[in-house]
Amino acid sequence: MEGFFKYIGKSVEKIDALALATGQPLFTDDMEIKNALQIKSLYSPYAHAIIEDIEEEEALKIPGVKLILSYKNTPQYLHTTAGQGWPEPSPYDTCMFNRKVRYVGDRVLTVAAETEEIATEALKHIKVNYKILPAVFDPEEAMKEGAPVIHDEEGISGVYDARRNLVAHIEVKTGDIEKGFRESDVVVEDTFETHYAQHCPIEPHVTITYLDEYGRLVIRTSTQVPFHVRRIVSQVTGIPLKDIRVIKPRIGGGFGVKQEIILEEICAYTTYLTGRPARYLYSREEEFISSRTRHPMKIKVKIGAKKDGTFNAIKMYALSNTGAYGTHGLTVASNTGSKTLPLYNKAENVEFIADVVYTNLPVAGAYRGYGATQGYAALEQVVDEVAEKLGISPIEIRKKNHIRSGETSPIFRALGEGREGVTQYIQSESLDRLIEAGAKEISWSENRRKKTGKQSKVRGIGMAMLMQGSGIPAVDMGAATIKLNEDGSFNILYGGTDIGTGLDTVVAQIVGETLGTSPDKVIVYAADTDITPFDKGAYASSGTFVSGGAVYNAALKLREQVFEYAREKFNEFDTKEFLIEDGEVISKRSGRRISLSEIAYETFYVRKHQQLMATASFISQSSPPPFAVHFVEIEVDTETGQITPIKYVAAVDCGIPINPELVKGQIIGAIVNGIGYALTEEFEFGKSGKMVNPNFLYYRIPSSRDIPEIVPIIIETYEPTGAYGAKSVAEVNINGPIPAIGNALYNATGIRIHKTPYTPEKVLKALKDNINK
Amino acid sequence: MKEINYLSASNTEDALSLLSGFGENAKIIAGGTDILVRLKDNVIKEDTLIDISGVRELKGIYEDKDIIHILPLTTHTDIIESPVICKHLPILRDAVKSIGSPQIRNRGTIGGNIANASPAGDSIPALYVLSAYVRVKSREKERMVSINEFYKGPGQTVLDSNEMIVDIVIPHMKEQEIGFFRKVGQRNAISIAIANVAVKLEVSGENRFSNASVAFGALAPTVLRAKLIENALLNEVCDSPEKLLYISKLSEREVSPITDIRGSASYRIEMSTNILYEGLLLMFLKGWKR
Repeated sequence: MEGFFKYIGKSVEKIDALALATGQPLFTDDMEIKNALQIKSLYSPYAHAIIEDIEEEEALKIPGVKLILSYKNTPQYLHTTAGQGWPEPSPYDTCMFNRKVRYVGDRVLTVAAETEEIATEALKHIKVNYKILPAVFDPEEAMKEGAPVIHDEEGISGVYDARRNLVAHIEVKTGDIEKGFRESDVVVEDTFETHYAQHCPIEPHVTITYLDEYGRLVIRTSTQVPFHVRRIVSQVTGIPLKDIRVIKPRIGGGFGVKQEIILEEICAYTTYLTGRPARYLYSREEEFISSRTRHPMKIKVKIGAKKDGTFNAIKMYALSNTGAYGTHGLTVASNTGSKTLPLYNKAENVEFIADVVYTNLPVAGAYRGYGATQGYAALEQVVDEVAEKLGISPIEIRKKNHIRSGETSPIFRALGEGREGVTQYIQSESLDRLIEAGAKEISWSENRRKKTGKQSKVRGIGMAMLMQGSGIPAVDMGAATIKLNEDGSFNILYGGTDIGTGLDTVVAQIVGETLGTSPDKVIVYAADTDITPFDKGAYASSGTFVSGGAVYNAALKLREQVFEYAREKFNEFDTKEFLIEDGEVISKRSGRRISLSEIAYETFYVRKHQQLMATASFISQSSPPPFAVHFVEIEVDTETGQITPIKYVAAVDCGIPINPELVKGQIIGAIVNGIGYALTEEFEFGKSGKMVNPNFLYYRIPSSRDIPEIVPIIIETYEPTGAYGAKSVAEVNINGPIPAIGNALYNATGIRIHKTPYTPEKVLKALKDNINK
Repeated sequence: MKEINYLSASNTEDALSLLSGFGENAKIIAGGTDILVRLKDNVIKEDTLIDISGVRELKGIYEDKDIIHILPLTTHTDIIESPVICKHLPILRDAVKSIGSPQIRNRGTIGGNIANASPAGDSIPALYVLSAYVRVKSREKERMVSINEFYKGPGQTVLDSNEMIVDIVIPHMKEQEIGFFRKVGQRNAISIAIANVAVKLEVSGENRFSNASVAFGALAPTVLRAKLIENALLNEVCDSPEKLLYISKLSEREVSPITDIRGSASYRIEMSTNILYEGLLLMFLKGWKR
């Protein structure tokens, strides 16, 4: 597309880069509010217990303690903390505070005091009496008859079978699966388990609330979903929606964990009851023990294939552990099938079954990849196993079976976001090119199972093929308003939620391209529920596709108005040969031209007397998948068991990359995120179900020295349903590291590890077991 | 975080008199890379901090004939960047390079690493095999303590409450001396050792040694001299990988690690063998040369 667009496909500087780099007060907690009450929380030390009594009198006597909130004095509205579209596909199984605590780290109460020190001190003077109940940590145990029932409260809804701790059960079938296996030449089945992980945004959860001059409640918060925050805070606290304004400032990363409403309702309620501003900030430890995590899953994949490698039948069973509450439980598990199985649409017989189970462990929620990461961890390794059994290369078997442009998969329709999905045909795809480009960069044919000169080190190469989606089809909407100013600049007001990704910059580029204006003349104001139109927020890889689509539609509408004004002025019959570029409208037919600035001056003050402005929404009936093919070369130290990634190649098709540098940032970021998940990050639990490593020393996100050379290769396709041909890129690349490294480990050593992460200790043990075999 | 009394010393005498005045209620702070973290976690029992980071006379590296003096406030970065250390104490340099992150190495001091007495302290095994001495001083007296006798247990040293480290004294490695430091952590930076090892050998003939020092870290309550392995290295002709593996496996009889969040005891025992073997093998392949 080089030369075709002026601002699309260009690495325009991030519009907030200078302010961020110079430390301007942009983040939620950068604003100091006088007289703010400081909120601190007390957490359950037990995995499963009923609160019999809370003795808080001593604490309330401490000077400076203002308010203690618990189940005793807060509204008991069952809801979900999942910031999803309404009605949420997650169960209503929690209140602001619950009388029953269901994991170590479940919030028991909060104290609001004049200072953080006083609030912390007050917590020590509160005695909570618990009646301890038996707990269950293993999802398989939790489903059995006689297991402790975690949600036995009255009135919960959206739970499949609460007595069996079963949050959701999904069953989707196409074709005849058993016949499919019978008619296959080889059948391979294997099971893989993935583990708990946390998102670790550098900025933890933080919320500030205050009453404005008119007594309306302002919530300034580090969120991915400002409009859902407004709706759910109103729902939970009973404060009328019209009295709530949510402002999203700059955000220091989300990755899904800020698609949850976990501080806002309490902070808002504190301000509502006291009239005082309030501040609620999670520490890193609280982020680990009491916010949200990734659903650990056990996934069994069975593939039947013909001799030539064509897949005949694929069966996937996922057992998902949602922890103590069911937020995102159903939809994450749906995505485990819906974002993976359509990739291999050559198989006519497909079955996907999932069970989502409560346990007395930390709450899982949305996390980049959203179930697909877990699905690919298993699926892409079994694909390699099938290839090996057939004596076909991993590249060939994928080429033979992947979905292609113009094709569909019955899974798209059968499996949606907690309900039936929508039929969709792939309109942009170039998987063969991705495979070839990636294989070339990693030197696939030369490097498979290469011995190194170094004594104890062996090397291997592995690959994985991936897809995701772009937004939730037929559910999630975004909207935008755009208006023209006297100097030819534009204000764009939209609900889209840039959480550090660069979406605001992408939006400025879309407006610039559509209205013939340099992106630096586009003033972007986003995600303020009083001022901007609605948007579902930042999740499901929807930023560029849905929010950007809304901005594009609004810009097109405004362009029509601008052209119409120029047509009248030029006294021409139609606008067919009108151009807009460099801040001017030009009629190619007559050669007449008028600047946007002149149009604004004239329409404001001279003729017409109107503000040229437009509002538009965007909803898609499809969720065009971005595709990626990953290759990794690793070195395995057979003496220590340590895996060192040497080079990581990601060939990615995200449609037209609107800002290639930002796209690369998303690719590299997701891979680093995924490598940490694959190799070192892990929740360690004590016997009581307590997470024992809630800090960055022992919860090991990768340091810069742990990261290999990462080569992103962007292969352009044109997605006709996206603004300027764009699809999403945020999530798809986190799905690669586990299976790619797993396949590389097998290539290097002949071992497969069925439980992530691939820690040195596990690798070494597997190597030894392999020798002893 | 509790309230704490903060005092700043301007010279050694000043620090020592403050120390004798406050006794067990005071703790010395230098780089602060460990104390500040522990202060936040409320695990510092003392209520007074004596900051010696401004005491210039306690910082620096100098040579006195074939003895190297590293003053306690010398930072890890100073050590890594010192040509003297590079030339004469490469084992220490490699050990210090593996500590923490650039920020930690810029602030953290060798004196702090020694006094902190973590069984996983990365510089300590190197100091063991390099036969370092620590000069400690109180207002009343001064004494030299061999690093081998400096530790009583995890976090415990022979330092009295009124004493502090004023010098670290290490002889040059001789021409015919070689050695290495190796560490296994859980990632490549900001990682506490699962196991580490320092080795120094004096080459006396073909595949033979007249002196051998081997020290393991994170594998016992304190850093541990591996006497069986040292004897084996002295008595064997180390002329094959098999023999080196055999010797390395003796570590199983020397170390007594615990299972903790960083690794299980069995993995650590295995690591003690493997890092020693890897290091010895590399030296063997280089012909026992530096």
